[in-house]
Amino acid sequence: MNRTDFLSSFMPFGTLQTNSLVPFDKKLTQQQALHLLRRTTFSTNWQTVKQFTGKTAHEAVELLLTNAVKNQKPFAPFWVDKTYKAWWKLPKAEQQAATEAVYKDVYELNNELKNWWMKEMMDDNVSIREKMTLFWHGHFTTKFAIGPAMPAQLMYRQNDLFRTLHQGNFRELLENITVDGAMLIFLDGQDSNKKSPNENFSRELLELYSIGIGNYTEKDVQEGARVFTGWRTNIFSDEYTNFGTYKTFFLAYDHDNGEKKYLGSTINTPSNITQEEVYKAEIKGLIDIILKNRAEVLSMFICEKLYRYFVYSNPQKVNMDIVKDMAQTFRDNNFEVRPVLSKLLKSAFFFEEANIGIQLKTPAELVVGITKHFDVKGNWKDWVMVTLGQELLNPPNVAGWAGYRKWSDTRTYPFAVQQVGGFIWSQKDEDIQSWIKQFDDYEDVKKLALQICTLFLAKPPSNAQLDKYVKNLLGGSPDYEWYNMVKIAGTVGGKVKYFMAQLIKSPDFHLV
Amino acid sequence: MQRRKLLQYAGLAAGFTLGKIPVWASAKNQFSALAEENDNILVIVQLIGGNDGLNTIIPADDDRYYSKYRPKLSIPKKTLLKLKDSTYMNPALKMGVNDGLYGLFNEGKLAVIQGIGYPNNSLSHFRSTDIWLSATMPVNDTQRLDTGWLGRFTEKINGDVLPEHPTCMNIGNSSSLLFQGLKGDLSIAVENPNDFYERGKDILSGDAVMINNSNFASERNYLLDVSIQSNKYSTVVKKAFDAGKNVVTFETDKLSKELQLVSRLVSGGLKTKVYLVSIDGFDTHANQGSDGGKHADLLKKISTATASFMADLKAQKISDKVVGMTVSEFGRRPEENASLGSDHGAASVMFMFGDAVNGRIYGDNLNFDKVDKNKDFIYQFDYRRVYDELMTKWFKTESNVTKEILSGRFDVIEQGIFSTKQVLSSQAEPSITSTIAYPNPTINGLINLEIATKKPSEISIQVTDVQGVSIQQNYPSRLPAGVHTLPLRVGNSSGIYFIHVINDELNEVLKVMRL
Repeated sequence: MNRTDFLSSFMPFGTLQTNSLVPFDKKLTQQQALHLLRRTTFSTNWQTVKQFTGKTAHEAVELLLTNAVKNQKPFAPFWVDKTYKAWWKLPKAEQQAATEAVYKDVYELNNELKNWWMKEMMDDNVSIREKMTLFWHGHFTTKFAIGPAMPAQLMYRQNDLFRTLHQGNFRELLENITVDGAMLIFLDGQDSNKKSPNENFSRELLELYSIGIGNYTEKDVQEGARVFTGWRTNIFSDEYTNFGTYKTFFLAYDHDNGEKKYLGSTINTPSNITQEEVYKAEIKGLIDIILKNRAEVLSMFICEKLYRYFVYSNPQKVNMDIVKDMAQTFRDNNFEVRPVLSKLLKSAFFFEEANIGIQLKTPAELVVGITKHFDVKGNWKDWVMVTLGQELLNPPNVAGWAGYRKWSDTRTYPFAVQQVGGFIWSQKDEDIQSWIKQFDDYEDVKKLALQICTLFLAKPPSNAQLDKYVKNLLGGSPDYEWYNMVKIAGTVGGKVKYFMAQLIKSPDFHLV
Repeated sequence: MQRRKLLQYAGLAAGFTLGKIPVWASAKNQFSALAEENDNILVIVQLIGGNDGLNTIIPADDDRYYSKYRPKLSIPKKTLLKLKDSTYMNPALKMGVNDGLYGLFNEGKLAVIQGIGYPNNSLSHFRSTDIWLSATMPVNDTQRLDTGWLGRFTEKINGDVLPEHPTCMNIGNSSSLLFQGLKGDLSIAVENPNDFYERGKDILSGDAVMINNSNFASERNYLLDVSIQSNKYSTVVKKAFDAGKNVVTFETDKLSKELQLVSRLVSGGLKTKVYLVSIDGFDTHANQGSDGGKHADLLKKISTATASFMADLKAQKISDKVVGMTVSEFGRRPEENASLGSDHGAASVMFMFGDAVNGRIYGDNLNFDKVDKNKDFIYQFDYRRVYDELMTKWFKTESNVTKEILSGRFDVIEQGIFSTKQVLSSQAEPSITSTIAYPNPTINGLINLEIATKKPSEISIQVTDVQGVSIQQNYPSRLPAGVHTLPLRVGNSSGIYFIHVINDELNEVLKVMRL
């Protein structure tokens, strides 16, 4: 904020010098291992930190990227193919109840899906997969809580698309999202026809999903809208029966077959107006034009977003030299995402001291990170996420979560402190007693406090901080008593909870 | 500049002064940029998504509204509320106590500003919202808009002091660009004062402020700042909440609850100057509905919430302290789309409400013949003209401060929304005693402005057309006491022109006509 700016004139400190991505060639210290794990996963534990300490950046990052592809994908929820009857075809008397049943499902199943995903974020702990899945969800936003029915069946399919392609090719992501069922509903592609093309998706594809404002004209938006006419999805068992449910299909009679110009090029004309031909010529053709005609701005746009996700989310402190380097890598690799992640995360720049501990925790990082250690039941976690402003599957608008300091204001920060404290206080003493056993020499109060502080605070604690926290743990008892205290669940449980509640109040707990 | 605030924190943090309230600077320095202190309050109602101005205030006598542009979305004429010849209001705006916004209009407390917008309207929600909230016209699409006009305003009036009461409050939402100053967010966010109090009272960790310019220190100090402000203001807000009351019934939707809370805090004596509340859902690309549809339901919510809000303030005899305004990033395209909705448009309609508002219709109806290359309505009034008038007249900001915050001064709309003659400062004896323009109408474009001054006065004069385009501008010059006749020239074509007479105390607009 402000006070520091005032002093910066006479206290130079932590200035970033690096302007390109050169590999980090040293073995990771404990702090660097923690940094990498915190930025690429939602939660970690002491065991993993120890495993990563001493690896090279190359080894550590390869493990996170490869696990992400190799780890088994989660099983789909059992209801993913559940369909509905078209309510307007039912007798009048039954329509109201049938409509309500669909909307009830929309809310209940999407809520289930949120919890399902949060569990994946928690379980997928030595892999970058869920962090990247959330990145794409925040990028190619789709909300379930809208007017038209947005079944969780479609939200699941979109979520699965992001998981499958999380470090894949950006061209494929663009092609797939354009005809994604949930997206067709969210940005009105579902209703768009040649007589009156809807501009919603066409605009956001350029403004938010690929190249950013200033790099296209209103005419491009209008022409794109014509390209996207005729694509549909269906959630009803008795509608469009030849196309099935939850699949994207194409209605030739709603499609605008005229010539279209886009970003200075002409869209290919399909030889036949069939789903396959139109997809190939027009959809893939249009995406190809974006990637070819706007390669530079697109690569900068996406890489700046990745930079802010993984390095520092302050929009005014983006190191554009680093972003340029990432963007070059992106273009050189035919818009594959993995090489960009690999180069950034293995770089000396990423591990610079000045980049450690400077990200405000997202609600997902905060809630998943702590409940991995201290789990809570029911919808409590989800409620906290919603109140903190990061409801999964329901970002605030089509631009996704604004992030950075929007996460923490006088409404949300005190709430976060209160609720995360609540998570801790709800634990059983016996569970706390066994939880501390993951730490080395946990019977030594100073060693235990140091390890817990290291695991949860942005930077290693100062001596003054550590002394304070040790006092919190001991609660007035002499330190040699700790050895006995840990044997009694009722004693150690209460002490550790109080200690954790103090940690949670520190700003260091809310930075990663 | 920030040294003082820094020292306050440093003092607070020294030796873990856990739970201690920091020393807050006295409120003496507050509002130093105001010509006179006042307890006027502004409530901004943000309509998120782009409100369809055409279905809000409707030019229903133009048949093309029904036949060409809105065959499916138009509101049936027989249900419309007539405001004046050819200008009608959506019937949803009659909902709520005392006939809602329609009732406020009939009481002369609702200003309907037609054709509000700006040149080359951005059709991006995010860009256009930023333009509205920052009050900045970017030179190109990539120019960053990092501060809000009320953030800059607050920074100016508070200086480096954290006031006793929060100057800006964001109800129920996270931080808004509106309140961003050069040094960060100038607002606090509150949803429920009781929860805020419970959470704020035990939030201080006792950690010390870091003094270096690393990004780590910057973010860490930011969080400490949030915790300190939460601790301080949660008590202040709770006190006002407990002291205040609501005496009329509100609906239970989000906007109603938010305005109910604002009313109660005002009633309880909170000295917050700006409140931001919001209602989402105006991005009606699909199934917007006609009367009784989705858009009408949103208007109904605005009407009922606002009507209860004004009635509540009035019953407590505090309605003269508050004005409200709606802002929305853009209107919608005149022509409906195939999804029974409307796409992003340009110029729209804005409401201002309150006892102090000169309630009437400003500007001409949205005109199907005045559209841009995207076939969207062209604006009549730059939105910053409203901001300028709010700052100078409602908040009584010094002229040079308004100029700095808005990067220039903007004329009032028509004769002004607050009164026909705006007294900018309450001098017992105004220096300008009369202004007359003659001949009016003029045949050849030449017109005389007669100004009578009681004492020497620095006066500037500007002639504009109805679009606000400047035709002639005289730089401020000092006129001695007496009667002066100044020859002026209006534009070359026949029509309405405005002569603006501006000095430190007065901003008068004379309407003249060339035949």
